[in-house]
Amino acid sequence: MTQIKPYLLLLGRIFLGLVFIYAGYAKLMDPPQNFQGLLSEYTIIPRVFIPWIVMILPWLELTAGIFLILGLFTQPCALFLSGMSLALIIVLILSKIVLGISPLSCGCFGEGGIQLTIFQVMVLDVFDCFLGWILFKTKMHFLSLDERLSRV
Amino acid sequence: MTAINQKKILLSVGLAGIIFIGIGFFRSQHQGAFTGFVSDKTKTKGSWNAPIEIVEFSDFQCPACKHAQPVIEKLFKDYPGNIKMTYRHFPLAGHRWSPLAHQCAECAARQNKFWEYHDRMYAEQERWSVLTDPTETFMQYAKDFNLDLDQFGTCVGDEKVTARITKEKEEGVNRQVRSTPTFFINHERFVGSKELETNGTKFIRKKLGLES
Repeated sequence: MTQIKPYLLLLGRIFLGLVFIYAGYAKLMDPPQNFQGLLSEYTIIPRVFIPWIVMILPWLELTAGIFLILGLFTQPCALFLSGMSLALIIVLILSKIVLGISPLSCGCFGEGGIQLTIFQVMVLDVFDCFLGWILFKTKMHFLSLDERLSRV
Repeated sequence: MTAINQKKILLSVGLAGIIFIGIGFFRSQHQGAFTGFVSDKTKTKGSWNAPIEIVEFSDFQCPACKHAQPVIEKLFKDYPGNIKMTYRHFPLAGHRWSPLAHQCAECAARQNKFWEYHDRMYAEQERWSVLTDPTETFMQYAKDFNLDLDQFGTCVGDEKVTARITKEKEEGVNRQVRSTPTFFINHERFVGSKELETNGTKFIRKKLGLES
């Protein structure tokens, strides 16, 4: 198990990185109004924050995803992406349980992209949150720029 | 700051710069110029020369699209004579009865009863969406609106009508419509009923000179 662990963690880094690279890239290639419309349906998010989230979040997702795969600032990136997943879980749960609504939008999880239901998104987010936390708690990562630079 | 950290920060900044430039380049390649919408009289309502033109890409089986209907009605009520609205078919892959619903609605359009049929579809969406087969229900709607049932029945199986619907959806896809409802108000994009209700309405008021 000790021999496999570094490779498993590397796979985990690549998986989590790819999820967020895809998420960020898809948002950046689309008109920003598409993401803005999606966020507006989550009435639990204060409207004043939405334009800022639309402007900044996709870049952070993409950059953190790339950095995670390359193993640069691995722990902060893993923590950030884990936190992002947790935030979405909280928003989805609060929307459903507190406000009693599901976000109204059809196709928002992938008409023209990877198609996921809200339940599938939740499952993926829980997994990503957990995986990100494990990666954050790992001090040194196999085949990472962090490790390479620390040896120089 | 240690030398290692300095190197990491420099590398990060350099990489981030490459990412931003790269994405900026891909975005510029990705977003083409769109030409104006072609108006369709059978699926357009309101004043033909109205200063505000709304084009809606919508799916009859989409709950969010049903939710947008009262918002649209309110716009017509609040700004009479100033709104022209055109419907565009955008049946989503995940909605089982959407293709049939859109085919029937397009057939109603060919007998100049599109909006009546459209309103009925949304009003009874929860009922027909869960049926094993809503064909009889859709035929009943046609009967209720005094449509020529032979013509309607032939039309429902007509591949040219299906091709028309597919073409409208492709137009939406080419305009990067990803979800429904998506509205273009004088070519400005607003996605979802909440956006239409807030920023969309604000945009309309500005265009009509009712707000600065």
